[in-house]
Amino acid sequence: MNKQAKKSYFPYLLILPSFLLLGIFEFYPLLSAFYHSLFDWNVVTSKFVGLNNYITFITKPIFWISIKNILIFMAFSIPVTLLMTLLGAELIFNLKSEKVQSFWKYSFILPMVVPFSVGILIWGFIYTPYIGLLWQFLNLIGLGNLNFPVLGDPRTALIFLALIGFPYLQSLAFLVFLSSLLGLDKSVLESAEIDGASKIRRIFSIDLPMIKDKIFLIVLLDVIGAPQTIGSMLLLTGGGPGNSTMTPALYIYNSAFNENRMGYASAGGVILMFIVLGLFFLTQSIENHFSGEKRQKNEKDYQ
Amino acid sequence: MKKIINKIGKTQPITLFVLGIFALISLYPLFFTFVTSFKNNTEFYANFFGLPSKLRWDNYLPVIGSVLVWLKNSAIYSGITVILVLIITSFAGYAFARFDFKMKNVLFYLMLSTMMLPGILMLPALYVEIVKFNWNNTIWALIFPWITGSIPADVFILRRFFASEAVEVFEAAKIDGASEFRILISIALPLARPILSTIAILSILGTYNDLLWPLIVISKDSLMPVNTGILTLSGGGVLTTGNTFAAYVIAILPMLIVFAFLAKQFVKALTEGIIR
Repeated sequence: MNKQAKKSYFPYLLILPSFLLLGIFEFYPLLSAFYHSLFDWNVVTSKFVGLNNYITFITKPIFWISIKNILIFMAFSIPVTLLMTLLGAELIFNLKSEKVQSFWKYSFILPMVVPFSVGILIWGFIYTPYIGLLWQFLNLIGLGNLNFPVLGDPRTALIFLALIGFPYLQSLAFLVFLSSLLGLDKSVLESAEIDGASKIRRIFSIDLPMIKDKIFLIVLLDVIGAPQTIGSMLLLTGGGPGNSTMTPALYIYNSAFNENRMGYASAGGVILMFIVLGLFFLTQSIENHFSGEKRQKNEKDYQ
Repeated sequence: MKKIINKIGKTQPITLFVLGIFALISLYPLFFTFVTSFKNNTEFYANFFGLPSKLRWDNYLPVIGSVLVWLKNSAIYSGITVILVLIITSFAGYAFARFDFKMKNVLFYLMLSTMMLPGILMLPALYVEIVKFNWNNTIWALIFPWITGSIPADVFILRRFFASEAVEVFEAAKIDGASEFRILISIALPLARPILSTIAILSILGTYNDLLWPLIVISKDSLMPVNTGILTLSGGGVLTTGNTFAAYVIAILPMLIVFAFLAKQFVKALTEGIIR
């Protein structure tokens, strides 16, 4: 009897600290954000304004500029990063010796230890006109006249922010791809080679289809993460020049912490949430569409 | 078999060459930072790509004091967060894996659903809350939201781990008369050591690299973690490029040393932590 009673409250006791914290620092601010998105709210006062914050937010040109910017940013950074990361993982996978493999693996993820802002500041230096690494390098190979302030020009600032991190090996995605490649059935790969399939052919018809799930997972994480991009803009351009690198998250951040418009920023946050959710379901349905098509094709092959 | 080996052997030099270029490009900025930290202004402009003529350790003098303070702050903030995260999330993960209780699934999915929310949505409201608690410029403003932020993913990972352990292990101890709490502490947690190190590494990386939240709640230079503290250096014109890069080197070094010793665990943590 005693044991029964004990058993019934014990699990609640174990999850209590987690849910206490979630309640105070996650659910409360979440509800508060939804509620106050209907208010003209700063740290001290709040006044009910209905849907005004939402209407103002989505009718501001700066919001649409930021949406356009983030779409360009995603269209550029996601495919490039994915391609380079896959290339890196494939190259290492095709090495013979395990020792050599781990040597390269560790050297590729080493930049991960650099604190985020230090990494961004170093890239800021790389882009600095005349004294930065980029210009010095161009100068070295005789292209010094191509120099211009890449982050100071509204036409190029966004693209060069998206270019940060060259050669774009994402540690996390890289390790996931590599470990799932290494987990593939060796005999399938070997028989493909015996059948005379070239390496390139094998990569496209065996390797990539077999780690397809992992690729989709990484794309999904990128698609959720990218609309929230803020770091490099906040540290290097402040959204400028002339809003050319403004992102939705940075606009929300500025409204809240520079202009003290907490209610307005919360409304923006809710809108961003719907954008992220929308992209999430869109990506998922594309994935389902693709895997559905594949299955049909396979069935046809068997008939 | 021989044919395969030959084939792989033939492509190897090209593969190694491409990999070499990749690695060179991705590691060069770090190498450049290190080298430049020893140059004075004259040498920086005159000999941009070359090695410094001597190791000017005095480049480090104007910055080492403040960077060490920030590193110490980061160590304290991340350290306390990690310890509490390990305790809190392993308890919850164990509960979700081993027990049936009312509302279990509702609570679990409620917890997981918060991972879909964009972080910036909660920041203004959370900031107002922190101001009302009068926690600005205190350690509490950082560690409580940090712990909370890592709960969903960590509990998920830990639940998966405990659920994969054979029930017999726990049942046998129960028959021997051990209390549930005893089983958790002396059987479950020691079993979970490898996964706990994964959680710890993910938690350290996440907090060490957080930018927005410390930027918002810690405005006093002497209380900043290294990730935001380093930003206060780039203003002003007192420091030379050599000084600034010396600061970057100090900021990078501790994590680099940790990585050198725990590279394997880092790899494992990131591969398992994909859910984050």
